[in-house]
Amino acid sequence: MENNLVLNEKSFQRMEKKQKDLGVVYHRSIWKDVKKEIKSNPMAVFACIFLAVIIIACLLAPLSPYDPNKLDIANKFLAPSLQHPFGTDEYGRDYFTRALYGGRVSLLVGFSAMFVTICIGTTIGIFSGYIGGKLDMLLMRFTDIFLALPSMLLMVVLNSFLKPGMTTLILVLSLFSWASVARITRAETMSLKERDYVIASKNLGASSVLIAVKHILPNILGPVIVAASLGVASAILTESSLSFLGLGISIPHASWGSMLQGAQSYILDKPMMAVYPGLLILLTVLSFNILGDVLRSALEPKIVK
Amino acid sequence: MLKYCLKKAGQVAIVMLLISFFSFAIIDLAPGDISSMYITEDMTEEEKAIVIEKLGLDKSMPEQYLAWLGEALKGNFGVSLSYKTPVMPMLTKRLPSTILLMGTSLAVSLALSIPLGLIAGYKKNTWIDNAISGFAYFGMSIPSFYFGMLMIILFTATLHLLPSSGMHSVGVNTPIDTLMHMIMPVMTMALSSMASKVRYVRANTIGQLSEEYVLAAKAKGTSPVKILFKHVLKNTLLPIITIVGMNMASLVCGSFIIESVFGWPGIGSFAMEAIGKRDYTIIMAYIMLSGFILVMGNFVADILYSFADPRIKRGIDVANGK
Amino acid sequence: MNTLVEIKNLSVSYFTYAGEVQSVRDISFSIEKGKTTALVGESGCGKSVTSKSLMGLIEKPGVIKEGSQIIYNGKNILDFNPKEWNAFRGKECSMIFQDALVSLNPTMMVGKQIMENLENHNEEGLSKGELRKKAKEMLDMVGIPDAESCLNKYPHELSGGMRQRVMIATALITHPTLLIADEPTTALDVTIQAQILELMKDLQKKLGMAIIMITHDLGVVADICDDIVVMYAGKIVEKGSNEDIFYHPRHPYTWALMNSVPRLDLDSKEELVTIEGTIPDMIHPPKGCAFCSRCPYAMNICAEQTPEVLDLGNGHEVSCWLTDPRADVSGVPFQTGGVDHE
Repeated sequence: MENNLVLNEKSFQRMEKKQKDLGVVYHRSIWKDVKKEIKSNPMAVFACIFLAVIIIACLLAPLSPYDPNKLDIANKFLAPSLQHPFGTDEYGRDYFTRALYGGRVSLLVGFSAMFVTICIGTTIGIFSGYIGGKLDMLLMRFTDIFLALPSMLLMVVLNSFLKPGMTTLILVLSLFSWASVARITRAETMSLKERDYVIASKNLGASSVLIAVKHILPNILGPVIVAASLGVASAILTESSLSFLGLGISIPHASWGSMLQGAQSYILDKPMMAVYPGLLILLTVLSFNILGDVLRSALEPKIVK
Repeated sequence: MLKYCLKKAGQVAIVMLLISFFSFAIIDLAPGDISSMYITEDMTEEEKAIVIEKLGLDKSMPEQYLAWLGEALKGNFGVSLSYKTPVMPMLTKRLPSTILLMGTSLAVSLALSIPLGLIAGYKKNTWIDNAISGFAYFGMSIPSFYFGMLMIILFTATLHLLPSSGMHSVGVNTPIDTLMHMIMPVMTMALSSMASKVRYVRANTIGQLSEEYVLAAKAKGTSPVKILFKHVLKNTLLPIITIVGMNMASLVCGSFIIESVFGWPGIGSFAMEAIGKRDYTIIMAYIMLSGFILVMGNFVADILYSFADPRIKRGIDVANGK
Repeated sequence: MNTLVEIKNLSVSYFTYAGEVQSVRDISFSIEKGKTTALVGESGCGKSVTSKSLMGLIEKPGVIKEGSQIIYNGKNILDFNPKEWNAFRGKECSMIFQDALVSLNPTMMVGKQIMENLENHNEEGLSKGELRKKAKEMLDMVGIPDAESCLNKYPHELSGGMRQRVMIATALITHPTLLIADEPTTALDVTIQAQILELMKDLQKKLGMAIIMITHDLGVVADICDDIVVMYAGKIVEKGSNEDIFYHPRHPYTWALMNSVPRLDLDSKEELVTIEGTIPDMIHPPKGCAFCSRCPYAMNICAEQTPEVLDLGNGHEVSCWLTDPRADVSGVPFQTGGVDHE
């Protein structure tokens, strides 16, 4: 006992009261986890900043001194300059302004399609998982078939025969992407509905709707948020493909995809016209994908890292 | 085993039926009268009626569908509205070039993504993993047509190395020439299907490496390289079969877009043209054909997987998996 | 004495999200040649980590601390390079894992997995056929009927008991001098457990290896172990012979542990003891004795200072303040003081 601890009479008396070992409480909340995860990943920081900048820029597009659709043949194919950061296109329109307006369309389509997808998918998923039984089997068969369909092909067919436009595009995109969301939410619901707290509130007489909204929905939020982020990415990507094929947003209104369609004709002479909108698509989709993955590792701790 | 195959084959048939019905319904319900393309102002009412009857447009949609289905099952997909010739020979003539493109891309993407994914998973969180994962992110975030355009800008417009479109140069028909034409479309197509595979192989390798049997193998004095190739590789690659099957969709759809970008004379660019002309017999035939390739891809993958995994092979009729 | 392995001042920590988890804190004990030593304790007390250190299987985020030593045949194995480790693992020291189902590669035939161990240490240059013959002999030895056909089976086609026999065969095919068995019977049902233990005893007689048995099943310990090391919260609280630990426990944790299981040799009217509370947080291990918060006889000093290890002779060592002559020992149901069973 060479320690400098002073032994006294009390040292060898029984302890008066047991100190309660509470264990350590780690203060972890969803948003703290997400923040920590984003901070620890430089790619994620970049993604967030880029998305913030692009969204704000697109929202502020009307502040641009140029009209995105006004023709000015005298100034066509101007090289990038201070007045025209991206130069001008074949009709002399400011390409930067057009890119911002195109971004509004692309982002709007992306977010709306995601929103509709999540609404349909979550509703069907929770409904199917919570009610179970025959209805569940029927709905899941239906979902499986949707998952097996060659969606891009059918989207192309649908879009080529329907009146092209933003609403059509959003609906078509959602029609072919709700199925995977439904699968995820159903699986989560199935496991949640067996939890004691759900059974307890059921026994206390809570209605099914109340349980679904108050107990199940908040607890499947994690996977849904992840699906939403990845959903925006894939919606923007698909929209750009469809618009590129001339089956989405049609010229003169522009999305990034249809700008690329326009640029294709000049690709050998004016390659930069193709580079700008494509780069915007790439970076936006990339950011949403990274964000989705970061959210996944923050919100779904079972994932191996 | 046989029962399993039959069940899967039944599913293939159902999906094909659904696809056909769905596409048929869309085309039929779409605004715009198909017959308007074939009726001119100076036709008499009688002539118009004959055209409509010939097109089968006087019947109801289910009747039209059943008639079409009956013929399709016999392998007859009708006559093209714009070319006025049977559809099937036109498609089969172009099919080989599409298969060539798809097959090569699949081979390239597998040959690259498996080792890349394996390395990234094995060296997780190192710079090499970051580089490979970054590449995979890039691949899955870039629209394939845009990557194709960038390739054209770089290799054709700037470096003048590769031809930008078609399958042969005019008047030349050598394998080297075809190969030169193939490089860009194949790379473009391979990139998009590689991304998901690399990520998958990586995640799977990490998962397998944390399995207890790896620890047990290590406890036997097995070297890390041996563990990777003798134990982990097989278990990682088994699910890849399924992924390849699922990737058929991206290949089929990819060929559709990429053939258009590179002017590749396959069924995809042909169908694209038909969409412009609203030639619905060609569109239907194309959907059925590519749908078939896709669904068969899934089917073959499922069957192959069940043969490759001993757990499924010997216990197929028992509850599946874990 | 015939010491095979001597573990000196072993400390292992895991660096996690929440901080440094001190899984093993400065433990020392030795293993005799040909004897069976049990590592006993609750889940999370550091038994498995100790055994993994012996095999060099501590992986990130786990780190073996500076100053730790494991002396095997005069060499500190913690200084091994990867090549030396691979030669050591499987040949000198083999390991049996708890759950044979997950410890066997599901897509590799059993025979190949058994042979792999021999193949890794194939100094005699045995051919494939010879390796196979040895594998078959080993399967016969562990009592698998129709060994030949078993070689060509996949793990999922065997029963739990058979799989554990395969694991044992795999571990012993190289005739190691030390066998680490990490809860080898926990995943099995009782009758199979008895068979496997019997088999291990039997094989130990035949092959003469030392065994480290990691378990929380005291029945297993009483049955086959010569020496027992009782661990609590990353530290050794008491160690001694089977007899010492079972009949003359000197640490309240050991005593409680021994009296928490029904035993045929005790008075049936005696009540089983339960240990209240849970093991302490290993990120902030308590300053004094780790068992203090759960100990019914804890004194003020227990929370302040870690008790020294007291050697009671014959290898019986304990670390508890109750052995101090000044201790308040009223109501303590086991022997206290500094001398072994008077």
